[in-house]
Amino acid sequence: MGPTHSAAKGDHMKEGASKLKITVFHCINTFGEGDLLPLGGEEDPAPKFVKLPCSSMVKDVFLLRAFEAGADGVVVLVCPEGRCRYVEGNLRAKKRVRRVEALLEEIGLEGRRLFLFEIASGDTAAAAAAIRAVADQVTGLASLPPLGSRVPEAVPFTARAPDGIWGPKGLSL
Amino acid sequence: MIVAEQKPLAEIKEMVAPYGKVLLLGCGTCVKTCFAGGEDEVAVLASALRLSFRREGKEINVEELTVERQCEDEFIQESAPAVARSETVLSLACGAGVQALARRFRAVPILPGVNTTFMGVLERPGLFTEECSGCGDCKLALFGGICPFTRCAKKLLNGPCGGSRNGQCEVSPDTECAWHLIIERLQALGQMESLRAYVPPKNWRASLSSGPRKLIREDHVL
Repeated sequence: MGPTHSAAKGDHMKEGASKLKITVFHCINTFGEGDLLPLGGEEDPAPKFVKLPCSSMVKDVFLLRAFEAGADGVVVLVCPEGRCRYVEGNLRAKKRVRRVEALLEEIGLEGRRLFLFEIASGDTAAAAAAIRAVADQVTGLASLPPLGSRVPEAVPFTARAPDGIWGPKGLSL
Repeated sequence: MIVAEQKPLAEIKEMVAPYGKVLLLGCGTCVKTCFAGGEDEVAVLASALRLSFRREGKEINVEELTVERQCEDEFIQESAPAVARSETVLSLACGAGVQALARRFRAVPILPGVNTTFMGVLERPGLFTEECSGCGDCKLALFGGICPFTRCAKKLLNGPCGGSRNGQCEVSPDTECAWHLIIERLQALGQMESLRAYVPPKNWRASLSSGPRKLIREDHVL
């Protein structure tokens, strides 16, 4: 596992790939653990890895929340077409990434920050090269201004109204 | 199901911009099925709004909640505490749900996050098609289960116009000719003779053309 990210207040311009916050979503078929990747150099990025049983498990919200958490770039690694053990998981992942790319454009984040690569099973060198390429791409892009307070948390799915709020004539607010 | 499409982010952002605390309320029924306003869509939109405002150096407090349906009190009341602590509610339900919320929470602005479009079906994964206009006087039995009021561009009731080409409507090549489909279906059912029966002009009084409708079931009213 890579190091956890922490907000760097006032640090709007990044210098050096090692300071970049890169989140990598990968399926277990591309590689097992991020530590296996040859990314130990001083100038190499130190990504946060999110391991998934299949790249199709990458949900739109995961990608967006990675950016909310401060990621400068997000990488999705999928199996080559025709090689997904679940047949079409990588195809779904690609469509989802395209959709989020369009959404990021609507949001107005500067530059291209979301990337998808096909990685053959176990090809850790290719995975590392892809991550380095992303680091080069996002270096110099401005970071999001830091949050003034904590990131708001989602409310649980089922919220129950406490007794007495819903009166016989409806809620009067 | 009712099919809806989420509004563009820019339009939603403009609606919520005056408010500091927004409840993003999803619906777990129709709009969830068509990927417009379910729990997943609430999460994505909330994140997109926060990112978009943060890019401008602003912070928006978005609370996320999804209830089973926004058209029934039983589920609407579950949202009451969250509504009570919000300045506005951005509802991702269909127009019926938005209005139901607005009637029950009079002091809180309820904003529509989706454009409600039609009553339809999931034809195949990712494709939703309009099937029913809610005319109030269903004659599907005459047409092999295919509605010419909804699916024929000219709303013809007594056979095709003759302008179709390769089974596609002359109004739009992306639209199947409803009468082509009706005839194929009646052939399969062995009911082609039913086409000889004259179907009189539709009485639209049972439809929205006569104004908003009500259904009262006295056996359920206490």
